[in-house]
Amino acid sequence: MKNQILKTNLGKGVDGCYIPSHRFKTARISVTAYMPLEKATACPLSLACLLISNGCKKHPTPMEFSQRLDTLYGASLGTDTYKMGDTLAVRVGIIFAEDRFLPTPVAEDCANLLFDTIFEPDVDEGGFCEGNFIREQRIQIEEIEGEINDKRTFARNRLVEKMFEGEPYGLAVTGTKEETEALTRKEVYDAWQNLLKSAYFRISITAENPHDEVFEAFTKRLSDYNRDSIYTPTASILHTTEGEVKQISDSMAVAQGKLAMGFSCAGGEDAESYKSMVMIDILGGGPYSLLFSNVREKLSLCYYCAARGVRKKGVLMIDSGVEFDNMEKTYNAVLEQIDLLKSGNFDDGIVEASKLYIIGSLKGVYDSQAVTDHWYADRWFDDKLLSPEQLASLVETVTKADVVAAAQSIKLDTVYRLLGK
Amino acid sequence: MIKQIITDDRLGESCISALHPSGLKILICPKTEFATAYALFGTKYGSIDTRFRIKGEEEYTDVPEGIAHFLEHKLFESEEGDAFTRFSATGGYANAYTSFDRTCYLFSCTERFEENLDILLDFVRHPYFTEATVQKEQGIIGQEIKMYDDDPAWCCFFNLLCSMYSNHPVRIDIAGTVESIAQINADLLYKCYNTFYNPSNMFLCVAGNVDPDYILDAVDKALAGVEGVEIERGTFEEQKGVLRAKVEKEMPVAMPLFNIGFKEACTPPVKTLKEKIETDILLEMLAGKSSKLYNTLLQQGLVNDRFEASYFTGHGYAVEIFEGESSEPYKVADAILGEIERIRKEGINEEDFIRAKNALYGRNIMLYNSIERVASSLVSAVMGDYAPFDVQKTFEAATLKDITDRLALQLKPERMSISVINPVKA
Repeated sequence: MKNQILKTNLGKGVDGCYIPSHRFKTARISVTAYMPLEKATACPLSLACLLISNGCKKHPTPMEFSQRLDTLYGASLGTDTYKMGDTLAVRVGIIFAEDRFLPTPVAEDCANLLFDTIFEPDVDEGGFCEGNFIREQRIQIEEIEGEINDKRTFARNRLVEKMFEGEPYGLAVTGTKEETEALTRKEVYDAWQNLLKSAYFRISITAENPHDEVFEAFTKRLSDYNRDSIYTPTASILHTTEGEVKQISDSMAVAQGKLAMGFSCAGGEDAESYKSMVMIDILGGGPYSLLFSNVREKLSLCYYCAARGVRKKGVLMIDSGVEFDNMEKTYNAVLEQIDLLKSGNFDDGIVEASKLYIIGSLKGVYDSQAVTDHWYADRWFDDKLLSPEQLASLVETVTKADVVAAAQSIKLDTVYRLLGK
Repeated sequence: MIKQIITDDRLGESCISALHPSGLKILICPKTEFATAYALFGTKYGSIDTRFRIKGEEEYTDVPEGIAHFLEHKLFESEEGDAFTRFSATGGYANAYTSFDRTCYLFSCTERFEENLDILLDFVRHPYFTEATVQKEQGIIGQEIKMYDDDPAWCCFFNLLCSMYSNHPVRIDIAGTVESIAQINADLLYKCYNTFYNPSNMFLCVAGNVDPDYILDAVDKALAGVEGVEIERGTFEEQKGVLRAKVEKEMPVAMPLFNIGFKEACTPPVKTLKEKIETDILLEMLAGKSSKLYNTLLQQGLVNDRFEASYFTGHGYAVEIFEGESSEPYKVADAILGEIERIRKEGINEEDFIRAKNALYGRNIMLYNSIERVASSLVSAVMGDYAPFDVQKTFEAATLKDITDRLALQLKPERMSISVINPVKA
């Protein structure tokens, strides 16, 4: 069967997306709400997600809620918030075994449970119920503080924080510890209500058969809200690098240093961004990349040295774990690889290897319900909504000259170093 | 080649199981509705195989810690270049991993499966080690080791194993130490390779968009005339009880991390699938997200949503592990012990049992959504010596009495050990 999606407008600020998925044993329903990324949304909505994913009016405690999921044959309900350029995406989804594999059907109950979590959280006149609020507030604070446990993620986050200081993209998606501590249960409930009134919604179903009744049930519940003013994501503002390179470091009792480097580069949501995608992969994607083959394999400086791009912001980030004494050597080696890229002084075969790898990955997108859903959720507001196949066709056309041209825009912006004590 | 087709009508899945004359075990689960194919070529050789001999040799060979993992890194190189470059030309994503009892080389692809399979079967069978390439790898693996040295969850886990096991090599870090890998040389690598990378000790597991006949033919061509060997692994005397009841370490973490383990007797040394599944059900009832224990600790502010329990077992080791983050890890340990005692006295609640069993049953069905997870489940079947789809059948067959009987043999307070990673004091 040819991969395809069916996109439907379900009303003002609500779209439906059906992705036929005959190859899976499960069905997946997810609701993505798009909101502006700002301090007033990120922290309270992250906390609201924790609250609604652990209880609702009908099953108010985490124990009752979890037991309900168990009785639905291990259905899994999850929430997350993430940055989509300057937009905050809030996702609530449920995945469950398709009825044909179970002794008793669960699809309808799973859809109802998902909507109960979104529209009927356990609240009283003061907002989210106090006991639940205190527990989840503690958990969010522990999650924020626990970021330090994973030094690689910690270093990457510190780079983003400093590179985008004062900009929405520099905000932590969960907010800070202080912001979380200052929240009241009423403020969090109000933020959730505001999301229901003003977010742009996309409800997506990946299942063997269409479930139009799920779309209808969702819009019916949403019709209870006054949705006169709806946020619609616009193109993100691309990052620009001006002035001196920002140099930041922290010291900690660690065995290995971390080097994270942020660059501005061509990208964004324009029609040419696929060329940057190939360029970034050649720099630091697979084992054929310049960073892997030179900085890791030839110079033996590290176990990992990888590049990844943030399409919507027009930036690329490189990170590596290195000996403290090799920090500057690695820094210089990374810049040398970028010079090689800009000068076109690399093997033509790397371009073909990168294209083969990217095209192969794109062909596999439909092999995962979650990846397919994320693919469309992230591109929903692009001028042209590309399918993985369409992007693969564009990647196929990329030449070495395109890669070298895209590399000219790379400009070092911010460097973060995690040093020992 | 001995070949059979195993099917599960309820799941709508089938699998080809074959034994090549060389001794290589082959499991193939074709899923042609997917674009991706995923293949693992592995050996029953991991970090715990530190002492061995081939049948007929007089002496056992003792090798440095971390050599199985080192060998995994080095096998990607050949005199002509590295395997990554070969896979790059065919669009395959290649990788490898080493665990306690296995080393697997793998690739996934959506095109040119046949060429990728040929590369996999070729590079794993053609080692090329020199002193110079060994030395180069010491720098890379040294950084990998240091990366794990900064990982508090990893350190907490290995500290637990070291406090529970006095002799069994499960207490050794998979990658070894910077000092132990410095002792590795080309000769030792060849010795390990020639012992463990014999088809009679290996397996090929494939899932996804593949033609099984091509795979069986490719194996036939690649392994024609290879003779099997019989490996004798060294044994390690291990006491019943734990070495230490607690171990603590300071690292830059926000709040204490804990691993609480219960050591289980291992006679015979390998747990059956039935024992593993029953333990999974027991731990789900005891400490899963729906359990009384988890929810009480959550309400008391003693754990967060990272709390979980799992069964860690292999040849000669078996531990039920409860892990998480807590400002009061010792109170969590007391609560776990209290709950185990309560269940022993009051018996297992039947409703809890049915709910846990249904949840795990459903989750296992979901496994078949992922080509990678299906292929990995085939590896587990080879390593555990059971047939594909037996997991689902074993879940269905488990009874309340089975779980009660299992509980009687496990989770003994006198065999408990706790490992804690505390925040560095200011």
